[in-house]
Amino acid sequence: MPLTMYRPARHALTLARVRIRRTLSLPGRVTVREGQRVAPKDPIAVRPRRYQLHLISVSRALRVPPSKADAYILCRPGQTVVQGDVLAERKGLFRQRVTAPFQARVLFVGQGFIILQRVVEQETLLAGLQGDVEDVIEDYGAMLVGQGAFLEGIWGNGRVDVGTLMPASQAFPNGVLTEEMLTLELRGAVVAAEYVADAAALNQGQEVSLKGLIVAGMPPSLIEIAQAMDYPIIVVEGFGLQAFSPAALQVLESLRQQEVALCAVEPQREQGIWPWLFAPREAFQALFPAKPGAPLSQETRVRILRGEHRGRIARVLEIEEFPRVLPSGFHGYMVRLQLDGQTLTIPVNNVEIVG
Amino acid sequence: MASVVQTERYLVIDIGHVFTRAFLFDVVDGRYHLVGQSAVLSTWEAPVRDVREGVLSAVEALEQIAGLRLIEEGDILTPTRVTGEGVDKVFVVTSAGRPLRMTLMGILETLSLRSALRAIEPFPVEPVVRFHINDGLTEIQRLEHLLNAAPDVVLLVGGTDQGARQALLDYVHILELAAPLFPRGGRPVVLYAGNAALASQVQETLGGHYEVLIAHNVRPALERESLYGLRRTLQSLYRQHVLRQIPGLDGLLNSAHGFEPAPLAWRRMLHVLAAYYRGLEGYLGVHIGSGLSFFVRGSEEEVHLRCFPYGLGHGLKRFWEDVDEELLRLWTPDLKDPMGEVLHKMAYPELAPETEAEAWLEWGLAFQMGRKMLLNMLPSSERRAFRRQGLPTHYRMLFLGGAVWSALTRPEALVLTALDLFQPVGVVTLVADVAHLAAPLGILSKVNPYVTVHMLRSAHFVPLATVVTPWGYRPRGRDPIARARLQWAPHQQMSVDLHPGEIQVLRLPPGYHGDLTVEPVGPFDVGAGPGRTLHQEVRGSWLGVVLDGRGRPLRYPSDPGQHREARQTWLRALMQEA
Repeated sequence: MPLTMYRPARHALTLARVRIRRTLSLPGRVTVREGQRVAPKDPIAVRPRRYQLHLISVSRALRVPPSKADAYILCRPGQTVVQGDVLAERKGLFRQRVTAPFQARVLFVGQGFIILQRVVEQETLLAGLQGDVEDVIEDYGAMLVGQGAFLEGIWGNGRVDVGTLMPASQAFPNGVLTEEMLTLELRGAVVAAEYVADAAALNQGQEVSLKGLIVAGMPPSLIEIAQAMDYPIIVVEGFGLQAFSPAALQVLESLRQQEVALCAVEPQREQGIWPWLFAPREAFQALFPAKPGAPLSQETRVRILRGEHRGRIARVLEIEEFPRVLPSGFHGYMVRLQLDGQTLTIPVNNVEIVG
Repeated sequence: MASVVQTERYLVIDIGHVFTRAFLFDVVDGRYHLVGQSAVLSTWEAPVRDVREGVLSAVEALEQIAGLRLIEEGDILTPTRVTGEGVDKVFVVTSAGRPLRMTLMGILETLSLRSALRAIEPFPVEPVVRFHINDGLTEIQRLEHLLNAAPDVVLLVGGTDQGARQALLDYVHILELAAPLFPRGGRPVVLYAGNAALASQVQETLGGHYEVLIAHNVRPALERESLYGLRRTLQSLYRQHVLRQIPGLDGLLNSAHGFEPAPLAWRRMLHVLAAYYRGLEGYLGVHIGSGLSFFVRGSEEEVHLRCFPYGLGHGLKRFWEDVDEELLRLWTPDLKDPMGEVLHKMAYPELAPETEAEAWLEWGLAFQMGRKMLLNMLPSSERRAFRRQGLPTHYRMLFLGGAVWSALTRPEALVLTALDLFQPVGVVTLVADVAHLAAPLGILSKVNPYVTVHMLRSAHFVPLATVVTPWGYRPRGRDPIARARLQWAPHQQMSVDLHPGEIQVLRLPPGYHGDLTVEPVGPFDVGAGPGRTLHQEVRGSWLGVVLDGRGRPLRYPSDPGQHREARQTWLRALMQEA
């Protein structure tokens, strides 16, 4: 009896019902409510990522001994103050005041000191798609649902934006994206290209204010530069020279000149989240939800993840009943696949479901 | 011979980042045997997000292999039925989940903080921030760092019992200030293991804000370190953390008879193996997993275990900046874009090597990770010696764990990688945990030591090789540096001359014993002292006796072509029949 082997799915769908769990890395504050409509760039949760604390010596500012300074302090711990608010005051002939230098929260008051705390960096979680809040996940985020075209990649640079999808050149889907191709006409566009080879092209994308870039492949050496770009970048197939799979290409072709959202999140394996492209579409029938994965079974369409057929889409014939040892030394279960009329056997580990 | 007094049948589940393995141990003919084992993909991540699904698949696979019913109505059948079905006890070990993020607060870096670091070593902990009184930070800066680090645990140590107080109270004050700033549900657990006289005050002050756990002081007196109490508390804290991290584990543990983090169980078994292989003078063990790796340095007197938050799959991201790209290219000449492959593996941590080139990528990364861990684990004097002349000679057993070291189809590749990683000197036994049994047997050894004892003599712990490495010589020309002879039956012997720069092998298959004689040609040391001939009884192993004449420290040709050629020559030497 064959075993149940679950594999994750990565989707390339021209129309689907999408449910996405969007959560902060650590607890924060959720800013949406159940049933709320959201746009891709709407914040759904926030969390202070970095704090700065500011120490104010009231006794020094008011020129009073520390033991007496507390009597002049007007603010209380937990209170939010804005720039210019009076924190401490000494009345009299020569009135002296201590004011808040910026908007902050009062953290501590005592021993002649006030400590203010302000958030200098915030993690803002954007929706990343147009849809509805199905459920609020307390302190973390929300479950979002939408319907439309949905294409998942394997790497993203962490940015989110919306723009009109344009092929990089007439040669699309073939060819390398060059600096020269990114003219001012592409300002505000989300550009699709097979491969980006150098930093100059990425920098030019920044110059012309691209709203996004989606490529099949990218060299590993560009990762750091891609991470520094302000616009979202999604790698769909993998690192190195890659071509779009027919399924991905079908989605991209169907969205030419249409508005799309790129949510270039870092993949989160545990949650089954990949960076994605989403374009809302009307549906006139009930749609099947895109699932994060499923057990492999006969006829399942899978993407081959390693070896000479990497990136190709094949069909499952069967999962072998007993594990095997490969010449590489790997010991595990194998799946037999049908690919262009030929049969090949590879480890179950090395396929993912094409959603 | 040990006789069986307990005859229970055991099922051990080992949940890793990539694989969930099930092992069935039972008594056959008066001895414990591994009746069957299985491995399926773990299901703690999406799409399933319930570890029990993978466990049931693994046990189903085991049912097929062992021909024994072990599941009833979707649950593991315990205890054993009169019909013989089921198991008596179930044990669980795991290395899955992300490490605990910890902030350390101590008084002196060289005393309490050092003890705290030693105490946390055996656990998958990522120390994110450390404070001590000489760190140059103001109270405000410490508060900032504490909040920005967003730890799971704050470990507060310092002061001998009845000793320093104020520095600890300052830390307590910082924690008090920080409490309202941590988000709801994101407040760390405070673990106090400092001056015992302050324990109740710490509990009283912080108890309203945090979950506070009190453990024994790690430094009750200046000259005394006491880690046991803190480690016990950490173990239960880690258990809670893992239960939160791994969906479904909670339910599984309800029906289990024991649970332990895999590194602790692995360490226990390693010590037993070292005793068996006469390695208690000194031994090293490296386990490279997908998301977590660990390293053991031990001897009869002491055992040090340390977890490292990186690995060859889920933890590759935490090693990405340490990858030596040039070195990796030398190890993987047949891959067009090894760094691209590394990134691909970061996206798909469960990827399995299908080709030899892909296997070399894993061995190349394992070498780099293992070397980093080794240098971290050796005491500073040994570290300096290692860089000059290889591993100190008192290390007599080297143990390799993790899927990357289980490729018995290529034992020569495993041996060459291990030799390059450890650079052993003298005589060492090289053992690989090819069946992934060390952690399961480690947890069972607490319950029934007979299982462990009986399994030691099984084929699963056959060494990869016995390695002899002469040292202290300056090679001159092509003269041999040692002559070796192996007698394995009254009239059966073989001999070889070892020349500088080469590797030679004397085959001695598993199950055989032989008498090895290695005679140095000159005042060299082959493991018996300078100029002395080594006589040693050796056990059979997958490769036999490997004589490594490449010198220490190892020097590789810098030219990629020559480097590749040298490696191929060494691999051929390890493969060829003597």
